[in-house]
Amino acid sequence: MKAALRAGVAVVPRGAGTGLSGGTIACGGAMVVATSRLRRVLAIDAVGQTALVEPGVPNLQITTAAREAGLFFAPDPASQRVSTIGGNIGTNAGGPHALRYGSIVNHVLGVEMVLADGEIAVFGGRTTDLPGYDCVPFIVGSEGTIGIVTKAWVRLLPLPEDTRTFVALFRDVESGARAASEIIARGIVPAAMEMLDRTTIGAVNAAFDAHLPGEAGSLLLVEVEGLREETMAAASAIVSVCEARGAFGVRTAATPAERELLWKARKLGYPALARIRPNNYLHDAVVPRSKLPEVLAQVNAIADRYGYIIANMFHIGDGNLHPVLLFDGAVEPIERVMEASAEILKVAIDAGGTLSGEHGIGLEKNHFMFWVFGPEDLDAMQRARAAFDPNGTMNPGKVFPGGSTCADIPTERIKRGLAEGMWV
Amino acid sequence: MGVATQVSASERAVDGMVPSRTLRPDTTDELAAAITAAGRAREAVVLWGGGTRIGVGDPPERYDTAVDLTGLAGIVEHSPADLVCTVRAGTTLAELARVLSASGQRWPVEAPQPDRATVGGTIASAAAGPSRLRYQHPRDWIIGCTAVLGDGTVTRAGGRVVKNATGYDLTRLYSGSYGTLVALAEVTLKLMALPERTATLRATAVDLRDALRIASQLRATHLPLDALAIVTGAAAERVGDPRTSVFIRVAGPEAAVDRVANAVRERSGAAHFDARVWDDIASLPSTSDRVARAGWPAGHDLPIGLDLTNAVIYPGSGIAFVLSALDVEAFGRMRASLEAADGALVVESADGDFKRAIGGAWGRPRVPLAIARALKDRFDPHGVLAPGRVPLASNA
Repeated sequence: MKAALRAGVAVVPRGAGTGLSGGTIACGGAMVVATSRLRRVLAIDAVGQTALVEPGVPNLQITTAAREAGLFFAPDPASQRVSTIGGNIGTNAGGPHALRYGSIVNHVLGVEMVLADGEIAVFGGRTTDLPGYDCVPFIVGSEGTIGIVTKAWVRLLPLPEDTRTFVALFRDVESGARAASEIIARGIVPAAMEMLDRTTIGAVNAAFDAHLPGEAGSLLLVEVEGLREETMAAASAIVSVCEARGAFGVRTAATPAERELLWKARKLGYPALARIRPNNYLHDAVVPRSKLPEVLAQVNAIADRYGYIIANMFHIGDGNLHPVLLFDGAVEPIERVMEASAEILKVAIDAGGTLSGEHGIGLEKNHFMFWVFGPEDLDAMQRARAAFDPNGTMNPGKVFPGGSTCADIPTERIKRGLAEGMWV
Repeated sequence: MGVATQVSASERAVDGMVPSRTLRPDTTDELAAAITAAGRAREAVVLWGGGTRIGVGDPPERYDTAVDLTGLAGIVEHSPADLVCTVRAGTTLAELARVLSASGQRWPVEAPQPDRATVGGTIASAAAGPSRLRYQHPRDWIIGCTAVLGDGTVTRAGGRVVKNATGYDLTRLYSGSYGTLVALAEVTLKLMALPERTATLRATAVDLRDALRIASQLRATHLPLDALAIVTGAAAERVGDPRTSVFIRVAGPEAAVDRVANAVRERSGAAHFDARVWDDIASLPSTSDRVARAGWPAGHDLPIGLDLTNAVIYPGSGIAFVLSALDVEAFGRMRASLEAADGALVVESADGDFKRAIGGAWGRPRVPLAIARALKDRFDPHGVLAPGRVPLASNA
């Protein structure tokens, strides 16, 4: 980092490169610094229920290392077999179980970081409320724009006594969405609650032999965790809401193997969509949970109007949409896909939502930040950034709108046009 | 905007420093105007919520105006179906609880004196209470805010959704900044349903060692406890019984509470107790004269040499409030012992002379002081917001 600073070269930190918003694309002659060789689990503290890990450790490996102590690491992005904890910290990654346990930010206690000037600094630690500003939750989700995390203390949780996993089948997306909204409105927060629509169910069945019911228009994959009495009470309350909202079947995973299969289908469902069309554009907008039915209807209407097949497989419990527009890049112009995408983002923002729940802003959505924040709000973020990286050498051209670092990328001009309202 | 009289200005003294005026803005714009005006006059402001934790930190370097934020009170928007609520920062925890409970909901953060403590002050001072065991930090239950920066700029951060990776999470950065980076005007909170049932139990212990043994045995079961506190000495007497006691709270569906409460009884000999004791326990640290807060890695044994003869201890959170009036020498020994164990000993309340005599209220910081200084200079370029209260590198 010192050498890069001396040479005037910008730095782009990179974990496994599974990010979905272009945060690790190096433009303008920047240098990529990959953390993939820093991959040791340095300590599992069973008594304090924490782990000390290097940034290149894949997410799932933390849980594997902690399991012997009866503990687990809660954040579980779908990429967790591959994606690194450093990258997870960079984007404030979530995953299905963020519904109950919160995103990565709730689970990082302290970090060691190499700053833009090459200094090694420590923020926070295993003890709560240490003196001075609490920079850890600002570092989490900063997308490589203020430094490179080189160690992290993360929180581990006791494995739940009981887990119940089931799917509730609905005629269409709307009735499933109404059920999900009502479950939350009743104050029931499951460990995870995912929706899969008809397109996704078909793709997942074809790819994994998952035997999900093909006749369903949508399904909710629900998991509850806790004491047996808690999971029993929550499951029966959830099932009764689903049935009142027209669920025509509820199937419970009877064995751990069945549960594994359901989650494998969910987590590997995204690549399975390639069976339908070779290319896709995946979104990450979040909306208030009471708005889910109307927002989903509008999103699907946009896809219809443009003539794209749309797949919805997402974290419905926290309102985190993942509409996927499927297309064939060889014959369909990217401009049109991006235009439909901007309309989808607009619908989410108009419903009181935001651009990203867990993938981050990166290069993909930086110009859309104007849709959510005013100049003063963005300036406050820049003040925080400048306190760490006054020269702006860390991952330039990301997160914030403006700037020309990445202007050579072909889709940049289209994105800026859409964000500035030229084509919307 | 209400301009209070000289009498109330003296009631707004901090560490013996008396401001020349008190302002009580009723709107965010009035708050911004007060901060902007102070910046122009190169004056310093101390932000007041309920004042329950105003003594935490180093004495302000300068102090001209007390800005009382309790005029910024009330619910802006409660959306029960989204488990989200936006409140003005001067709303008290008790008022918030009253409004939310009508919808069967709550903000699961406990702090001292909920009838006085404000939501903004609780977040700004990272207040700790029994809820930390299960619901962690207040910052984990805030999803957005409106904040006035030190130069008077009104800004928003975060949003009204429960999951958000849209730009930097400034709301959480402001948590624990003790009114030195921004003035919180409104905050949006993540809520949860009230538990179906709550049970409080108390086990009496022979001594502190015995109490700690009971607590760690209960934790080792991995059963979900809702709160766990040890109260000793005069503190125990103030909650009704001079014996060292372990208080346990269990919450959830009725059947789960019954089972966990039974398990707690079998392992500790605990008996049911009046649930109102939790507000008393939480409030002990803000109703004592000289108080220090010890922190150490949660779950681990307490570092040796701590004076916990009159204390509230949250062993599962690694937090203890030391209520015995430590002298300078004892404080120094305990701070050294805690810092050697990656912990800290911070003054919660004491006079300015004591804070100076022990070498500052905070001890070893968790952030490079140059970064802290850079944050302060950028968010509060004129040094308006409680200059000197938190650790920073000295001015270049």
